[in-house]
Amino acid sequence: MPGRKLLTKVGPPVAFLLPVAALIGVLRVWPLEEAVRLSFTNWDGFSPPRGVGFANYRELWHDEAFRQVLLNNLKILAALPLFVATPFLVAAALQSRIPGWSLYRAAFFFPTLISPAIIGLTFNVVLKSDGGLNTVLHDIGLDSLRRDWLVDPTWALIWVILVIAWALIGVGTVIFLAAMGTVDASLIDAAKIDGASWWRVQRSVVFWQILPVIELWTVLVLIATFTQFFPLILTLTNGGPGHDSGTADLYVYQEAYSNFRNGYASAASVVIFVITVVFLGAFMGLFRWMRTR
Amino acid sequence: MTRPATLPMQWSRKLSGKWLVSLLFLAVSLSMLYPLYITIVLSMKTVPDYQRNKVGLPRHWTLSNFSHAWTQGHMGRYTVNSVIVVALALVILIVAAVPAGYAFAQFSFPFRRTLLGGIVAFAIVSPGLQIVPVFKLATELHFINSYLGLALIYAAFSVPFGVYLMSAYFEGVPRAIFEAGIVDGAGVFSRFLRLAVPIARPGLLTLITFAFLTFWNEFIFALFILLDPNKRTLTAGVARLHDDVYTSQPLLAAGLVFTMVPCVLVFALLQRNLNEGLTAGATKE
Repeated sequence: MPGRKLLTKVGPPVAFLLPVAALIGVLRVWPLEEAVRLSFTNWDGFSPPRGVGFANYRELWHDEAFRQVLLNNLKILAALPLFVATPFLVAAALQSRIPGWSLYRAAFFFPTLISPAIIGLTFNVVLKSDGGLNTVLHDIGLDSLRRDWLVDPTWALIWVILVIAWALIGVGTVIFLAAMGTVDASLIDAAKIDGASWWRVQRSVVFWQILPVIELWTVLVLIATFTQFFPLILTLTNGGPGHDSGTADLYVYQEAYSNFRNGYASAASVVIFVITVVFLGAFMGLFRWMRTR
Repeated sequence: MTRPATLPMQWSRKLSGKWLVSLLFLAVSLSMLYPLYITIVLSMKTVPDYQRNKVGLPRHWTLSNFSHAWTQGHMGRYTVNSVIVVALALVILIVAAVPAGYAFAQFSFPFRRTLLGGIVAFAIVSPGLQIVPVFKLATELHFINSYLGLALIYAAFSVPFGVYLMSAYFEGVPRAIFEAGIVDGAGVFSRFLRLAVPIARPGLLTLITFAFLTFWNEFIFALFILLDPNKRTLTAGVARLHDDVYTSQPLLAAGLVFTMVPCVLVFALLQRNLNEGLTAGATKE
Protein backbone atom coordinates (compact mmCIF):
# COMPACT_ATOMS: atom_id res chain seq x y z
CA MET A 1 0.00 0.00 0.00
CA PRO A 2 1.80 3.16 -1.20
CA GLY A 3 -0.43 5.42 0.90
CA ARG A 4 0.59 3.69 4.08
CA LYS A 5 4.26 3.80 3.13
CA LEU A 6 4.00 7.55 2.57
CA LEU A 7 2.39 7.90 5.99
CA THR A 8 5.22 6.11 7.82
CA LYS A 9 7.75 8.25 5.95
CA VAL A 10 6.10 11.66 6.35
CA GLY A 11 4.07 10.98 9.51
CA PRO A 12 6.82 11.25 12.17
CA PRO A 13 8.38 14.51 10.85
CA VAL A 14 4.92 16.07 10.60
CA ALA A 15 4.11 15.06 14.19
CA PHE A 16 7.47 16.32 15.47
CA LEU A 17 7.13 19.64 13.63
CA LEU A 18 3.50 20.31 14.51
CA PRO A 19 4.11 22.37 17.71
CA VAL A 20 6.78 24.59 16.16
CA ALA A 21 4.71 25.05 13.00
CA ALA A 22 1.68 26.15 15.04
CA LEU A 23 3.73 28.55 17.16
CA ILE A 24 5.62 30.15 14.25
CA GLY A 25 2.61 30.10 11.96
CA VAL A 26 0.29 31.92 14.35
CA LEU A 27 2.68 34.28 16.14
CA ARG A 28 5.40 35.03 13.55
CA VAL A 29 4.04 34.43 10.02
CA TRP A 30 0.49 35.65 10.59
CA PRO A 31 1.75 38.95 12.12
CA LEU A 32 3.88 39.36 9.01
CA GLU A 33 0.81 39.04 6.80
CA GLU A 34 -1.03 41.42 9.15
CA ALA A 35 1.85 43.93 8.88
CA VAL A 36 1.64 43.88 5.09
CA ARG A 37 -2.11 44.51 5.26
CA LEU A 38 -1.74 47.33 7.81
CA SER A 39 1.06 48.93 5.81
CA PHE A 40 -1.55 50.04 3.25
CA THR A 41 -3.63 51.80 5.92
CA ASN A 42 -3.40 54.84 8.17
CA TRP A 43 -4.17 52.84 11.35
CA ASP A 44 -3.45 54.75 14.58
CA GLY A 45 -3.90 51.76 16.88
CA PHE A 46 -7.40 52.71 18.06
CA SER A 47 -9.84 53.72 15.35
CA PRO A 48 -10.66 51.38 12.43
CA PRO A 49 -7.89 51.39 9.78
CA ARG A 50 -8.58 53.16 6.47
CA GLY A 51 -6.82 52.21 3.23
CA VAL A 52 -4.30 54.71 1.85
CA GLY A 53 -2.76 52.71 -0.99
CA PHE A 54 0.99 53.07 -1.36
CA ALA A 55 1.14 56.41 0.49
CA ASN A 56 3.13 54.97 3.44
CA TYR A 57 5.74 53.44 1.13
CA ARG A 58 6.04 56.65 -0.87
CA GLU A 59 6.58 58.58 2.38
CA LEU A 60 9.18 56.05 3.55
CA TRP A 61 11.15 56.52 0.35
CA HIS A 62 11.62 60.22 1.20
CA ASP A 63 11.93 59.72 5.00
CA GLU A 64 15.36 61.02 6.09
CA ALA A 65 14.97 59.54 9.58
CA PHE A 66 14.26 56.09 8.16
CA ARG A 67 17.40 56.29 6.01
CA GLN A 68 19.33 57.41 9.09
CA VAL A 69 18.26 54.44 11.26
CA LEU A 70 18.99 51.93 8.48
CA LEU A 71 22.45 53.48 8.19
CA ASN A 72 22.87 53.17 11.97
CA ASN A 73 22.07 49.45 11.75
CA LEU A 74 24.81 49.14 9.12
CA LYS A 75 27.28 51.03 11.33
CA ILE A 76 26.54 48.75 14.29
CA LEU A 77 27.00 45.80 11.94
CA ALA A 78 30.35 47.23 10.84
CA ALA A 79 31.47 46.86 14.46
CA LEU A 80 31.07 43.06 14.13
CA PRO A 81 34.87 42.52 14.14
CA LEU A 82 34.99 44.32 17.51
CA PHE A 83 32.20 42.11 18.90
CA VAL A 84 34.10 38.99 17.78
CA ALA A 85 37.70 40.04 18.52
CA THR A 86 37.18 41.26 22.09
CA PRO A 87 35.84 37.98 23.51
CA PHE A 88 38.47 36.07 21.50
CA LEU A 89 41.30 38.07 23.06
CA VAL A 90 39.78 37.85 26.54
CA ALA A 91 39.33 34.09 26.20
CA ALA A 92 42.89 33.68 24.87
CA ALA A 93 44.26 35.54 27.90
CA LEU A 94 42.13 33.54 30.34
CA GLN A 95 43.09 30.30 28.61
CA SER A 96 46.75 31.22 29.27
CA ARG A 97 45.73 31.08 32.92
CA ILE A 98 46.63 34.61 33.93
CA PRO A 99 46.41 34.97 37.74
CA GLY A 100 42.79 35.17 38.86
CA TRP A 101 41.39 33.92 35.55
CA SER A 102 38.34 32.12 36.95
CA LEU A 103 37.26 35.20 38.89
CA TYR A 104 37.60 37.31 35.75
CA ARG A 105 35.54 34.78 33.79
CA ALA A 106 32.69 35.20 36.28
CA ALA A 107 33.01 39.00 36.27
CA PHE A 108 32.93 39.18 32.48
CA PHE A 109 29.86 36.97 32.33
CA PHE A 110 27.92 39.17 34.70
CA PRO A 111 26.41 41.58 32.07
CA THR A 112 24.73 38.56 30.43
CA LEU A 113 22.63 38.08 33.54
CA ILE A 114 21.06 41.53 33.56
CA SER A 115 18.32 42.82 31.31
CA PRO A 116 19.50 44.84 28.28
CA ALA A 117 17.07 47.55 29.38
CA ILE A 118 18.81 47.79 32.75
CA ILE A 119 22.25 47.85 31.10
CA GLY A 120 21.07 50.80 29.02
CA LEU A 121 19.67 52.52 32.09
CA THR A 122 22.90 52.06 34.07
CA PHE A 123 25.10 53.45 31.30
CA ASN A 124 22.66 56.31 30.83
CA VAL A 125 23.36 57.28 34.45
CA VAL A 126 27.12 56.96 33.89
CA LEU A 127 27.20 58.90 30.59
CA LYS A 128 24.74 61.75 31.04
CA SER A 129 26.23 65.24 31.29
CA ASP A 130 26.50 65.24 35.12
CA GLY A 131 27.06 61.46 35.24
CA GLY A 132 29.85 59.26 36.55
CA LEU A 133 32.24 59.49 33.60
CA ASN A 134 32.28 63.28 33.43
CA THR A 135 32.65 63.47 37.22
CA VAL A 136 35.69 61.19 37.08
CA LEU A 137 37.20 63.15 34.16
CA HIS A 138 36.76 66.34 36.17
CA ASP A 139 38.27 64.81 39.30
CA ILE A 140 41.44 63.70 37.50
CA GLY A 141 41.80 67.07 35.81
CA LEU A 142 40.88 66.06 32.28
CA ASP A 143 38.07 68.56 31.84
CA SER A 144 39.00 69.06 28.20
CA LEU A 145 37.88 65.47 27.48
CA ARG A 146 34.43 65.98 28.96
CA ARG A 147 31.56 65.73 26.50
CA ASP A 148 27.82 65.60 26.64
CA TRP A 149 28.26 61.99 25.52
CA LEU A 150 24.64 61.09 24.80
CA VAL A 151 23.75 64.41 23.14
CA ASP A 152 26.73 64.45 20.77
CA PRO A 153 25.47 62.71 17.58
CA THR A 154 28.75 60.87 16.87
CA TRP A 155 29.46 59.83 20.45
CA ALA A 156 25.89 58.64 21.10
CA LEU A 157 26.21 55.93 18.42
CA ILE A 158 29.78 55.09 19.46
CA TRP A 159 28.59 54.54 23.02
CA VAL A 160 25.73 52.38 21.79
CA ILE A 161 28.29 50.20 20.00
CA LEU A 162 30.67 50.12 22.99
CA VAL A 163 27.90 49.22 25.45
CA ILE A 164 26.72 46.42 23.12
CA ALA A 165 30.32 45.13 22.98
CA TRP A 166 30.41 45.31 26.79
CA ALA A 167 27.17 43.34 27.02
CA LEU A 168 28.41 40.68 24.57
CA ILE A 169 31.87 39.93 26.02
CA GLY A 170 30.68 37.40 28.63
CA VAL A 171 28.89 34.84 26.48
CA GLY A 172 31.52 35.12 23.75
CA THR A 173 34.31 34.52 26.24
CA VAL A 174 32.59 31.44 27.69
CA ILE A 175 32.02 29.98 24.21
CA PHE A 176 35.59 30.68 23.03
CA LEU A 177 37.06 29.33 26.27
CA ALA A 178 35.14 26.08 25.84
CA ALA A 179 36.40 25.80 22.25
CA MET A 180 39.99 26.64 23.19
CA GLY A 181 39.86 23.87 25.78
CA THR A 182 39.43 21.36 22.95
CA VAL A 183 42.46 22.53 20.94
CA ASP A 184 45.14 19.84 20.78
CA ALA A 185 47.85 20.90 23.26
CA SER A 186 50.61 19.27 21.20
CA LEU A 187 49.94 21.70 18.34
CA ILE A 188 50.53 24.64 20.69
CA ASP A 189 53.63 23.02 22.21
CA ALA A 190 55.05 22.42 18.74
CA ALA A 191 54.55 26.06 17.82
CA LYS A 192 56.17 27.17 21.07
CA ILE A 193 59.21 24.98 20.49
CA ASP A 194 59.54 26.58 17.06
CA GLY A 195 59.86 29.87 18.93
CA ALA A 196 56.40 31.28 18.18
CA SER A 197 55.36 34.15 20.41
CA TRP A 198 52.13 34.02 22.43
CA TRP A 199 50.41 36.24 19.92
CA ARG A 200 51.66 34.15 17.00
CA VAL A 201 50.30 30.98 18.64
CA GLN A 202 46.85 32.57 19.02
CA ARG A 203 46.84 33.90 15.47
CA SER A 204 48.27 30.94 13.60
CA VAL A 205 47.15 27.94 15.66
CA VAL A 206 44.25 28.66 18.02
CA PHE A 207 42.33 30.89 15.60
CA TRP A 208 42.27 28.27 12.84
CA GLN A 209 41.56 25.42 15.23
CA ILE A 210 38.41 27.07 16.60
CA LEU A 211 37.25 28.69 13.34
CA PRO A 212 33.87 26.85 13.31
CA VAL A 213 33.13 28.26 16.77
CA ILE A 214 34.14 31.76 15.65
CA GLU A 215 31.70 31.34 12.78
CA LEU A 216 28.95 30.25 15.21
CA TRP A 217 29.63 33.26 17.44
CA THR A 218 29.51 35.61 14.44
CA VAL A 219 26.05 34.30 13.56
CA LEU A 220 24.89 34.62 17.18
CA VAL A 221 26.19 38.21 17.37
CA LEU A 222 24.53 39.01 14.08
CA ILE A 223 21.20 37.79 15.47
CA ALA A 224 21.78 39.65 18.74
CA THR A 225 22.63 42.99 17.12
CA PHE A 226 19.47 42.75 15.02
CA THR A 227 17.11 41.70 17.81
CA GLN A 228 18.44 41.85 21.38
CA PHE A 229 19.47 45.43 21.89
CA PHE A 230 16.38 47.43 21.08
CA PRO A 231 15.49 47.78 24.83
CA LEU A 232 19.13 48.71 25.58
CA ILE A 233 19.11 51.55 23.05
CA LEU A 234 15.64 52.59 24.22
CA THR A 235 16.90 53.19 27.76
CA LEU A 236 20.44 54.35 26.86
CA THR A 237 19.77 57.07 24.27
CA ASN A 238 16.17 56.51 23.16
CA GLY A 239 17.66 56.67 19.67
CA GLY A 240 18.72 60.27 20.13
CA PRO A 241 19.83 62.88 19.53
CA GLY A 242 17.17 62.94 16.80
CA HIS A 243 17.58 59.53 15.17
CA ASP A 244 21.38 59.51 15.29
CA SER A 245 21.76 56.45 17.53
CA GLY A 246 18.46 54.64 16.88
CA THR A 247 18.05 51.34 15.04
CA ALA A 248 15.39 50.29 12.57
CA ASP A 249 13.32 48.28 15.04
CA LEU A 250 13.38 51.12 17.59
CA TYR A 251 12.14 53.47 14.84
CA VAL A 252 9.20 51.16 14.13
CA TYR A 253 8.40 51.05 17.85
CA GLN A 254 8.59 54.84 18.21
CA GLU A 255 6.45 55.52 15.13
CA ALA A 256 3.82 53.09 16.42
CA TYR A 257 3.69 54.00 20.10
CA SER A 258 5.07 57.54 20.38
CA ASN A 259 3.49 58.92 17.20
CA PHE A 260 0.56 56.46 16.95
CA ARG A 261 1.31 55.79 13.30
CA ASN A 262 0.80 52.02 13.27
CA GLY A 263 0.14 51.93 9.54
CA TYR A 264 3.34 53.79 8.73
CA ALA A 265 5.28 51.70 11.27
CA SER A 266 3.96 48.54 9.58
CA ALA A 267 5.18 49.73 6.18
CA ALA A 268 8.61 50.43 7.70
CA SER A 269 8.66 46.97 9.30
CA VAL A 270 7.81 45.30 5.97
CA VAL A 271 10.66 47.13 4.20
CA ILE A 272 13.10 46.25 7.01
CA PHE A 273 11.97 42.62 6.88
CA VAL A 274 12.68 42.41 3.15
CA ILE A 275 16.11 44.04 3.62
CA THR A 276 16.91 41.62 6.48
CA VAL A 277 15.98 38.55 4.45
CA VAL A 278 18.08 39.68 1.47
CA PHE A 279 20.96 40.50 3.80
CA LEU A 280 20.74 37.17 5.64
CA GLY A 281 20.69 35.30 2.32
CA ALA A 282 23.81 37.13 1.15
CA PHE A 283 25.56 36.45 4.46
CA MET A 284 24.76 32.73 4.39
CA GLY A 285 25.93 32.59 0.77
CA LEU A 286 29.20 34.24 1.80
CA PHE A 287 29.75 31.66 4.55
CA ARG A 288 29.09 28.79 2.16
CA TRP A 289 31.48 30.30 -0.38
CA MET A 290 34.19 30.69 2.27
CA ARG A 291 33.76 27.09 3.33
CA THR A 292 34.09 25.65 -0.17
CA ARG A 293 37.35 27.53 -0.72
CA MET B 1 66.72 20.20 19.51
CA THR B 2 68.67 22.64 21.65
CA ARG B 3 66.76 24.76 24.03
CA PRO B 4 67.53 28.48 23.92
CA ALA B 5 69.91 29.44 26.67
CA THR B 6 67.87 32.48 27.65
CA LEU B 7 64.96 30.37 28.82
CA PRO B 8 64.98 31.52 32.47
CA MET B 9 64.91 35.15 31.37
CA GLN B 10 62.06 34.51 28.93
CA TRP B 11 60.25 32.79 31.74
CA SER B 12 60.44 35.70 34.09
CA ARG B 13 59.39 38.04 31.29
CA LYS B 14 56.42 35.87 30.50
CA LEU B 15 55.45 35.74 34.16
CA SER B 16 55.54 39.48 34.64
CA GLY B 17 53.61 39.85 31.37
CA LYS B 18 50.89 37.63 32.77
CA TRP B 19 50.68 39.73 35.90
CA LEU B 20 50.43 42.91 33.81
CA VAL B 21 47.57 41.43 31.77
CA SER B 22 45.96 40.27 34.99
CA LEU B 23 46.13 43.80 36.36
CA LEU B 24 44.46 45.11 33.20
CA PHE B 25 41.76 42.46 33.57
CA LEU B 26 41.24 43.48 37.15
CA ALA B 27 40.47 47.02 36.02
CA VAL B 28 38.10 45.85 33.27
CA SER B 29 36.41 43.37 35.63
CA LEU B 30 35.73 46.16 38.08
CA SER B 31 34.02 48.09 35.28
CA MET B 32 31.98 44.96 34.52
CA LEU B 33 30.86 44.68 38.12
CA TYR B 34 30.37 48.42 38.62
CA PRO B 35 26.62 48.34 37.79
CA LEU B 36 26.15 45.52 40.32
CA TYR B 37 28.11 47.41 42.95
CA ILE B 38 26.25 50.67 42.42
CA THR B 39 22.85 48.91 42.49
CA ILE B 40 23.53 46.96 45.68
CA VAL B 41 25.03 49.96 47.50
CA LEU B 42 22.16 52.16 46.37
CA SER B 43 19.57 49.62 47.50
CA MET B 44 20.93 49.79 51.06
CA LYS B 45 20.95 53.58 51.39
CA THR B 46 18.28 55.71 53.04
CA VAL B 47 16.78 58.44 50.85
CA PRO B 48 18.40 61.39 52.73
CA ASP B 49 21.71 59.55 52.66
CA TYR B 50 21.36 59.11 48.88
CA GLN B 51 20.60 62.78 48.38
CA ARG B 52 23.71 63.77 50.31
CA ASN B 53 26.11 61.37 48.62
CA LYS B 54 25.01 59.62 45.45
CA VAL B 55 27.97 57.35 44.72
CA GLY B 56 29.78 56.55 47.99
CA LEU B 57 29.05 53.90 50.58
CA PRO B 58 25.95 54.37 52.76
CA ARG B 59 26.39 56.05 56.14
CA HIS B 60 23.72 53.78 57.62
CA TRP B 61 23.19 50.43 55.93
CA THR B 62 19.49 49.63 55.74
CA LEU B 63 17.33 46.80 54.45
CA SER B 64 14.12 48.85 54.61
CA ASN B 65 14.14 49.46 50.84
CA PHE B 66 13.79 45.74 50.27
CA SER B 67 10.84 45.40 52.63
CA HIS B 68 9.24 48.49 51.06
CA ALA B 69 9.73 47.14 47.56
CA TRP B 70 8.32 43.80 48.66
CA THR B 71 5.17 45.25 50.26
CA GLN B 72 4.44 48.64 48.65
CA GLY B 73 6.07 47.76 45.32
CA HIS B 74 4.20 44.41 45.28
CA MET B 75 7.44 42.63 44.33
CA GLY B 76 6.21 39.46 46.03
CA ARG B 77 3.16 39.14 43.80
CA TYR B 78 5.13 40.16 40.71
CA THR B 79 7.69 37.45 41.42
CA VAL B 80 4.94 34.82 41.48
CA ASN B 81 3.55 36.20 38.18
CA SER B 82 7.00 36.10 36.59
CA VAL B 83 7.57 32.52 37.72
CA ILE B 84 4.23 31.45 36.19
CA VAL B 85 4.89 33.16 32.84
CA VAL B 86 8.52 32.01 32.57
CA ALA B 87 7.68 28.40 33.52
CA LEU B 88 4.85 28.24 30.96
CA ALA B 89 7.04 29.80 28.27
CA LEU B 90 9.88 27.37 28.96
CA VAL B 91 7.56 24.35 28.71
CA ILE B 92 6.07 25.59 25.42
CA LEU B 93 9.53 26.39 24.04
CA ILE B 94 10.86 22.93 24.90
CA VAL B 95 7.81 21.10 23.51
CA ALA B 96 8.20 23.03 20.24
CA ALA B 97 11.99 23.22 19.83
CA VAL B 98 13.27 19.80 20.94
CA PRO B 99 11.16 17.51 18.71
CA ALA B 100 11.64 19.91 15.80
CA GLY B 101 15.41 19.96 16.26
CA TYR B 102 15.40 16.16 16.37
CA ALA B 103 13.26 15.89 13.23
CA PHE B 104 15.50 18.25 11.25
CA ALA B 105 18.65 16.41 12.30
CA GLN B 106 17.56 12.77 12.13
CA PHE B 107 14.73 12.45 9.60
CA SER B 108 14.87 12.99 5.88
CA PHE B 109 11.73 14.48 4.38
CA PRO B 110 10.84 16.85 1.54
CA PHE B 111 11.70 20.58 1.99
CA ARG B 112 13.78 19.79 5.11
CA ARG B 113 16.47 22.44 4.50
CA THR B 114 13.97 25.05 3.29
CA LEU B 115 11.78 24.59 6.37
CA LEU B 116 14.72 24.74 8.74
CA GLY B 117 16.05 27.87 7.02
CA GLY B 118 12.60 29.46 7.12
CA ILE B 119 12.23 28.87 10.86
CA VAL B 120 15.76 29.93 11.79
CA ALA B 121 15.47 33.09 9.66
CA PHE B 122 12.88 34.37 12.14
CA ALA B 123 15.65 34.48 14.76
CA ILE B 124 16.87 37.64 13.08
CA VAL B 125 13.46 39.37 13.02
CA SER B 126 13.34 41.68 16.03
CA PRO B 127 10.43 41.69 18.51
CA GLY B 128 10.39 45.48 18.11
CA LEU B 129 9.77 44.99 14.40
CA GLN B 130 6.74 42.73 14.93
CA ILE B 131 5.20 44.25 18.04
CA VAL B 132 2.43 46.16 16.21
CA PRO B 133 0.79 43.18 14.46
CA VAL B 134 1.55 40.81 17.37
CA PHE B 135 -0.23 43.13 19.78
CA LYS B 136 -3.18 43.45 17.37
CA LEU B 137 -3.47 39.66 17.00
CA ALA B 138 -2.99 39.19 20.75
CA THR B 139 -6.07 41.37 21.28
CA GLU B 140 -8.09 39.35 18.78
CA LEU B 141 -6.92 36.03 20.27
CA HIS B 142 -7.82 37.14 23.84
CA PHE B 143 -4.17 37.04 24.96
CA ILE B 144 -4.59 40.29 26.91
CA ASN B 145 -4.13 39.70 30.66
CA SER B 146 -3.43 36.02 30.00
CA TYR B 147 -0.24 34.44 31.37
CA LEU B 148 -0.52 31.72 28.73
CA GLY B 149 -0.85 34.32 25.98
CA LEU B 150 2.32 36.11 27.02
CA ALA B 151 4.12 32.77 27.43
CA LEU B 152 3.12 31.75 23.89
CA ILE B 153 4.51 35.03 22.51
CA TYR B 154 7.79 34.57 24.43
CA ALA B 155 8.14 31.01 23.14
CA ALA B 156 7.37 32.10 19.56
CA PHE B 157 10.18 34.66 19.66
CA SER B 158 12.75 32.24 21.11
CA VAL B 159 11.82 29.08 19.22
CA PRO B 160 13.84 29.86 16.04
CA PHE B 161 17.07 29.99 18.06
CA GLY B 162 15.89 26.93 20.03
CA VAL B 163 15.33 24.88 16.87
CA TYR B 164 18.72 25.97 15.52
CA LEU B 165 20.51 24.99 18.74
CA MET B 166 18.74 21.65 19.13
CA SER B 167 19.12 20.59 15.49
CA ALA B 168 22.84 21.46 15.66
CA TYR B 169 23.06 19.39 18.83
CA PHE B 170 21.21 16.37 17.44
CA GLU B 171 23.27 16.49 14.23
CA GLY B 172 26.33 15.85 16.37
CA VAL B 173 24.83 12.58 17.61
CA PRO B 174 25.69 9.64 15.33
CA ARG B 175 22.61 8.15 13.69
CA ALA B 176 23.90 4.67 14.61
CA ILE B 177 22.95 5.33 18.24
CA PHE B 178 19.34 5.84 17.23
CA GLU B 179 19.39 3.00 14.72
CA ALA B 180 20.38 0.70 17.57
CA GLY B 181 17.01 1.65 19.03
CA ILE B 182 15.25 0.43 15.89
CA VAL B 183 16.89 -2.97 16.31
CA ASP B 184 15.57 -3.08 19.85
CA GLY B 185 12.11 -2.60 18.35
CA ALA B 186 11.54 0.82 19.90
CA GLY B 187 9.08 3.02 18.01
CA VAL B 188 9.84 6.51 16.68
CA PHE B 189 8.42 8.27 19.71
CA SER B 190 9.93 6.07 22.41
CA ARG B 191 13.31 6.36 20.62
CA PHE B 192 12.96 10.09 20.83
CA LEU B 193 11.91 10.20 24.48
CA ARG B 194 14.16 7.46 25.86
CA LEU B 195 17.29 7.89 23.70
CA ALA B 196 17.37 11.35 22.17
CA VAL B 197 16.16 13.54 25.01
CA PRO B 198 18.64 12.20 27.61
CA ILE B 199 21.50 12.53 25.11
CA ALA B 200 20.50 16.13 24.39
CA ARG B 201 20.57 17.16 28.06
CA PRO B 202 23.54 19.59 27.83
CA GLY B 203 22.07 21.29 24.75
CA LEU B 204 18.67 21.45 26.41
CA LEU B 205 20.07 23.01 29.60
CA THR B 206 21.94 25.61 27.52
CA LEU B 207 18.70 26.51 25.77
CA ILE B 208 16.88 26.71 29.12
CA THR B 209 19.57 28.99 30.61
CA PHE B 210 19.43 31.51 27.77
CA ALA B 211 15.66 31.33 27.40
CA PHE B 212 15.24 31.87 31.13
CA LEU B 213 17.41 35.00 31.05
CA THR B 214 15.54 36.33 28.00
CA PHE B 215 12.05 35.64 29.39
CA TRP B 216 12.81 36.84 32.90
CA ASN B 217 14.32 40.12 31.69
CA GLU B 218 11.72 40.91 28.99
CA PHE B 219 9.35 43.73 29.82
CA ILE B 220 8.00 45.37 26.65
CA PHE B 221 5.63 42.56 25.65
CA ALA B 222 4.88 42.08 29.36
CA LEU B 223 3.74 45.70 29.67
CA PHE B 224 1.62 45.43 26.51
CA ILE B 225 -0.05 42.10 27.27
CA LEU B 226 -0.50 41.98 31.06
CA LEU B 227 -2.37 45.27 31.55
CA ASP B 228 -3.94 44.29 34.88
CA PRO B 229 -1.57 45.72 37.58
CA ASN B 230 -2.08 42.56 39.65
CA LYS B 231 -0.71 40.43 36.82
CA ARG B 232 2.50 42.39 36.15
CA THR B 233 5.74 40.45 35.85
CA LEU B 234 8.66 41.44 38.07
CA THR B 235 10.68 43.16 35.34
CA ALA B 236 7.58 45.01 34.09
CA GLY B 237 6.82 46.00 37.69
CA VAL B 238 10.31 47.42 38.13
CA ALA B 239 10.01 49.24 34.79
CA ARG B 240 6.75 50.82 36.02
CA LEU B 241 8.48 51.67 39.30
CA HIS B 242 11.13 53.46 37.24
CA ASP B 243 8.51 55.49 35.35
CA ASP B 244 6.78 56.50 38.60
CA VAL B 245 8.09 59.94 39.65
CA TYR B 246 7.44 59.19 43.33
CA THR B 247 9.82 56.23 43.34
CA SER B 248 13.05 56.93 45.20
CA GLN B 249 16.26 55.72 43.56
CA PRO B 250 17.13 53.40 46.50
CA LEU B 251 13.69 51.76 46.23
CA LEU B 252 14.18 51.23 42.48
CA ALA B 253 17.60 49.72 43.16
CA ALA B 254 16.05 47.30 45.67
CA GLY B 255 13.55 46.25 42.98
CA LEU B 256 16.42 45.69 40.53
CA VAL B 257 18.22 43.48 43.06
CA PHE B 258 15.05 41.35 43.27
CA THR B 259 15.11 40.85 39.49
CA MET B 260 18.81 39.93 39.48
CA VAL B 261 18.83 37.28 42.21
CA PRO B 262 17.05 34.50 40.24
CA CYS B 263 19.29 35.13 37.21
CA VAL B 264 22.43 34.70 39.27
CA LEU B 265 20.98 31.53 40.85
CA VAL B 266 20.00 29.97 37.52
CA PHE B 267 23.38 30.78 36.03
CA ALA B 268 25.20 29.32 39.04
CA LEU B 269 23.12 26.13 38.76
CA LEU B 270 23.43 25.64 35.01
CA GLN B 271 26.79 27.18 34.07
CA ARG B 272 28.67 23.86 34.00
CA ASN B 273 26.50 22.74 31.08
CA LEU B 274 26.95 25.92 29.06
CA ASN B 275 30.33 24.98 27.59
CA GLU B 276 29.30 21.60 26.32
CA GLY B 277 25.89 22.67 25.06
CA LEU B 278 26.97 25.79 23.19
CA THR B 279 29.88 24.41 21.27
CA ALA B 280 28.33 21.05 20.39
CA GLY B 281 26.93 22.33 17.11
CA ALA B 282 30.20 23.85 16.02
CA THR B 283 32.97 21.48 17.11
CA LYS B 284 31.75 18.43 15.22
CA GLU B 285 33.79 19.29 12.12
